[in-house]
Amino acid sequence: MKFIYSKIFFIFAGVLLVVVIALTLQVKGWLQPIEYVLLQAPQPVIKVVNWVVRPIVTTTKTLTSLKNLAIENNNLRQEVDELRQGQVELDQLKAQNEILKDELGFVSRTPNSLVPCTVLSVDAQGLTDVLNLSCGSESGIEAGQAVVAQGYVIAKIVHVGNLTSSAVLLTNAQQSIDAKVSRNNTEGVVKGSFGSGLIFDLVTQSADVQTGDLIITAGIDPKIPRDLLIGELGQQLTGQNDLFKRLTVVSPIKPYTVDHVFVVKP
Amino acid sequence: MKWILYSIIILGLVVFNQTILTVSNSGAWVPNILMLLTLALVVLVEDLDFLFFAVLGGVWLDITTGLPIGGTTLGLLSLAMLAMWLTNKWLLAQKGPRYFLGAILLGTIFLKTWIWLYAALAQLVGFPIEVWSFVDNLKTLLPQLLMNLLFAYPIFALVDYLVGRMLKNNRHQKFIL
Repeated sequence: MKFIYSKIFFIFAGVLLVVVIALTLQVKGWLQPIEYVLLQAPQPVIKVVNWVVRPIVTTTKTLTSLKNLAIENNNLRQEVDELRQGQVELDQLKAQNEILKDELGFVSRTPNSLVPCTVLSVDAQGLTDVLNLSCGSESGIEAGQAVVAQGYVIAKIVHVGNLTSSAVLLTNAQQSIDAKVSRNNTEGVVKGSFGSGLIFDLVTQSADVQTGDLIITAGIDPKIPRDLLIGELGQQLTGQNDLFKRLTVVSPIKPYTVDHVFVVKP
Repeated sequence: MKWILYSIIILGLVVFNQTILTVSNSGAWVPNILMLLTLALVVLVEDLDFLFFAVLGGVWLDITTGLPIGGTTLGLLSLAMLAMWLTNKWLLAQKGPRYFLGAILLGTIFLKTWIWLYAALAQLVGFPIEVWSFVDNLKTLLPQLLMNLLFAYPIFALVDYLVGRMLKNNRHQKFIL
């Protein structure tokens, strides 16, 4: 009997047809209820397993990094002292700024509104770098908006359904976001880099950028408000002869362990 | 009973992916357990049980990882069909586990290439996905291949045990009836 008349061929062709229909429905967004059920169904078990697994992983990591803790502690103390000093200066500047604004009659900028969302699933392999979130267009989410975790931008929304939305991590090699150095407004672009986190790129060679400078959003993209924290500059990756400077950006957030995020509505 | 057990295994697999694999932050060092389970079923069970794993498990993983539906599903289905055809043609199942390892080696390469191609095609028809480069795909191939080979025997042994238990239960039930 020829293969095309066999039972197995009919099954294969049937499944292929079903998948093509499902893909069409998915692209049009009509598969949302099924996607929502499949994403929500394992949540109770995931919560229980995480409740057991996470303390074990944290304890193991702490034990293996025990010898570095004292050094890290000293560095953090020093950083706290410096930040306290900086805070005093900022408070003074803020007070002066308020007085000047009042005198000039400036209207205060409205704060960004944040939509809280639960992370339903993450791509464990790190290829698509997708976070599936529990909020969609019904919560006012739109494609292109920034996703923030613990005060740091970690992803951008790429697809919005009624009940869920998908965001791609900034560490994805195809992602980029306009950014600037908070100290002196030097502009550049933060790009994802496969396997190496974030890179602050397209910075002119003459620009004054230093390790430890804070990187914030520049606000050029109308869907992403300015002054959202992205991370801190790390080591320089380029030499003197390169056209642009490239530096690593360090974010303390581990996106694969984040449970709750906020989507920033401009 | 069999289908409930299969559904629980698939649910367990999704939970494993979303907990232990994500918390450990292993990057590319992640085994494709669904592929291992499907191939083990092709080799150990003469029926079409692998279809259930390829379709339900594939669709579930596609949705949780943000892939277009069919990325994992059709890749696994094609791979399982091919493996079944080869198994029937050359009776590979009787020739020992090294052929199972060979199937995993070829299967990993096939599946990774398929998912990349499918994602790229889906992007062309308007699916919202950021397709990674082929070079990045190759970078993750070797770590995943090693992990798949490492997990091959435990998965094969687990499926063998479960299949044995199910056959034993079936015989026992027939005897009672």
